[in-house]
Amino acid sequence: MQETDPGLIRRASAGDIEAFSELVRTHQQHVWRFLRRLLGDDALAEDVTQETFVRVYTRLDSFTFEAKFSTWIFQIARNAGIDELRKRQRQTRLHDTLGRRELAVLPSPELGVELQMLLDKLPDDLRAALLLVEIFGLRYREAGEVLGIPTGTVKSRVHSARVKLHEWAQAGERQRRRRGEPRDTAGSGA
Amino acid sequence: MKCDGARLALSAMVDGDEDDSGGSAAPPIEALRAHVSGCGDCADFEDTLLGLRTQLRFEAVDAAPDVVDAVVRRVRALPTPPPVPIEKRLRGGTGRERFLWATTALWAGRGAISAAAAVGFLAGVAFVGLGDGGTAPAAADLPERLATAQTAVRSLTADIEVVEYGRPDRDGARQFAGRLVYGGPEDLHLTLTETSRSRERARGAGAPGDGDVQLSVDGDQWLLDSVRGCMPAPGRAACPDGAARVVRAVTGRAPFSEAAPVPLELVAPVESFALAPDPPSLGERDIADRRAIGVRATAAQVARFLEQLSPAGDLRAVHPTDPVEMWLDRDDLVPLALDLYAAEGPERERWAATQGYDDEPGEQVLTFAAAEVQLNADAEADIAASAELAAEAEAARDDQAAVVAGDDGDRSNDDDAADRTVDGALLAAGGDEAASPSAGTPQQHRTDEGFIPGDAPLVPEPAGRPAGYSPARAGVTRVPGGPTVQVRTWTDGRAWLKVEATDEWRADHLFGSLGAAVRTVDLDGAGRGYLSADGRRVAVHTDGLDVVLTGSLPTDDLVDLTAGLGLHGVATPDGWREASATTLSRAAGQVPHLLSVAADGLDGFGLPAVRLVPDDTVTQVFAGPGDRGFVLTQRATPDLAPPADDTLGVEVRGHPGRYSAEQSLLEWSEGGSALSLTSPTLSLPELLDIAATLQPTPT
Repeated sequence: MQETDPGLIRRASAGDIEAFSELVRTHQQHVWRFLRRLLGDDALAEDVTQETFVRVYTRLDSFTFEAKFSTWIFQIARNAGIDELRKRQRQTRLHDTLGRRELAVLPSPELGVELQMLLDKLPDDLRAALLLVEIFGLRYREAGEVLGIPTGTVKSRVHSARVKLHEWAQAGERQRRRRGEPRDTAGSGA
Repeated sequence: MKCDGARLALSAMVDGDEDDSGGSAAPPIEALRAHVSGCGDCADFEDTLLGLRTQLRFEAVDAAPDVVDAVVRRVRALPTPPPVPIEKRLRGGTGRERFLWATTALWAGRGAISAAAAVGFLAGVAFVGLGDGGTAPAAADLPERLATAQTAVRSLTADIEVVEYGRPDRDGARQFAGRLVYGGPEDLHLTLTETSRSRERARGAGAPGDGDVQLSVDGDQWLLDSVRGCMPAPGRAACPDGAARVVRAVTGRAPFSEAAPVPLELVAPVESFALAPDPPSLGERDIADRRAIGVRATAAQVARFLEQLSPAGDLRAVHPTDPVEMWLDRDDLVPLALDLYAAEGPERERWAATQGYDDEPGEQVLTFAAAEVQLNADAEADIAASAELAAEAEAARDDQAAVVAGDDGDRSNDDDAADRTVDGALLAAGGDEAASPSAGTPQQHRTDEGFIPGDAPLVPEPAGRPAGYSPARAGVTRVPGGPTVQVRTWTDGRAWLKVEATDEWRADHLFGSLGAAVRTVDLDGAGRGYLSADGRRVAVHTDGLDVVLTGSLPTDDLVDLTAGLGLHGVATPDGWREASATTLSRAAGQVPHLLSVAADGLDGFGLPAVRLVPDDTVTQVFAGPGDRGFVLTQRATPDLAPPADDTLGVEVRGHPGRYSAEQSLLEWSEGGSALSLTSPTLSLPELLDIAATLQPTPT
């Protein structure tokens, strides 16, 4: 991703709404793509994308230009996404307790249902690391800055996520063969 | 090579991060390839990696949502922070630092808060740091600059547009186009006419052209010609009489009469920023071919401006906490644009529901824009042009009214529309008899304020009057049954100064409409004066003469000018209303543990007007810019009055308290006293912030 003009950031930080709007325009697609995979739901990702940029606005003064602006935004997006996941988990626990299941979030059909279902099965920390590297091509060091973890941990989590996805995909393929269903041709079989 | 190692190497290779792995050295690529080509499981794993990369990184995303507008709406709905730090002792940091401090202090002081209050509170408290705030050069010292800049505005003309949103009687927005022509602080013409397209959207009880207004002020003559409709409201589905044209005419208008005011805030928003600290800055931009500075405020702060934009009072209501972005000419500080948005929060939501509005947080509610701005150009030509415009507007309004009323279009009794004198207008309206309120036949209200130009020998001239202030209207006002009042005025551009005096004052309160809450001021060798809570009037009571001084200058200047009148002010008689006015130190001697703000005051508000009433109740009235203000009351009993129906439990200064949005009242007990903070224009978070700053008053 192209680095953001520091002047634009400073103007937005000073309250220039036009400059801030330009920042949103530049980064919104990346943030949304990350969040739609993290959350598994397009509409929810849009809501959390909005929340991300509102948080960006309220914290602009804390951006010190020491890291890349995109890295900083991803940190905020990731935290907003994790907050949403935790909220959903609390709701799920609550509704499990109450015997209700209405709040289960179904993955959007457009996402490739099976891939998204597998991504959803991943622990949040593995999924977040994988998505940052897979979708945005962040280096392990950059992803580590976003996630606040060491570089080695990023590599480990990304690999663990891939191993799990591979195993689940293989298991799914074996089940389909056993049931005589056609092979999943979407992507690699993941 | 084992499969585990091979797969880890494949992961890193796909990511191009072999050398940045932080782990053990990767196997040579040839060895890896050799292993994968001979291991079906690892080959499958590599296929998984590549497939995943294809699906995730290179997926076609047809329509990523554009969230810019929604985000900007949400950001604009965030509550405007207190314009400055709560405490003056914080001055010296950046606006953002002080503001974040205030936010932190707010949260640090919070203890257990009831769930309901927390929900409302959290919804409201998402304080936004707005960059440099007071250190942004454009917005620095704005109140002082406005006070100075107003003297340079000799004439002003502008095309103006006003748009209001969210009216249930319009399918969409109601839009006005008009013209402002200003030639001096008592010479102004303002027209606002609803546009044709907007008229087409009138629905239900809304009538096309209701809200059209024409205001003409020329010295002692004042005319307001407006078409008044009414807003449908709960319990009132339609206007009982439909839209009615109302002509209100004032002759013998007293200089700078408040009963027949001139909308000078549209020329320079002095009152909107008097007493205000440096507002948060929005930076600079070009508007109407002029370089403009933007500042943030609230609707309460710019209440005078909004009122004066609607001389007939027909624009929609706005909530005092609604955020405002105002753009002023960078050099002359003339208003060029204003955008007002719906605030976020349960209080605002509740208010909107009772008013019949359906505003979403962050949505635009009202806009003002100026174009073709001419400053200090040929005022006479502009006034003539304005009269022509007024005539055209008048004719258009009559045509529209005729269509509505089914008139046959007979105009034989119409006045000469170019004659804009009050009498001429009344003749056009069909004489000075009251008429039935049907469209096209106006209601007429005529008042004579009884001002007669001439000498005013009783009125002393203030020594130390600022250079540039020239004598303006002077004379005598005689009202049947009232005292004879002499008046002298001085003006400099848009700035004005007025001194009134009477030796016939017989009432049991101060002359000069200061209101119930006044602050005594030391006139530096000239005895005692009394200052109104809003800091705009200074009264002096002497043996035989009562005088009041007012104007568009800062409070301190008004007090200094009063001290220069050559009078010696004395205390008001015991039986007068102002007898209860006192100082904080004297009140602290009567009421134990009296709380107040720090000695040098509270930023964004003037010093309090203090009253002590017989049951040991002390009230402190604080006024800020515009309508911002609050009252702190302390009674020498811990008992609170029965709560209102909508009371929420809140913690105030570590004590259990309560808040009623209906009454705009925060109450708590502390140190054996019942305390309350009330304000119709400040939010609960702001009241809690103020409560947090209170400290014992030294006796």
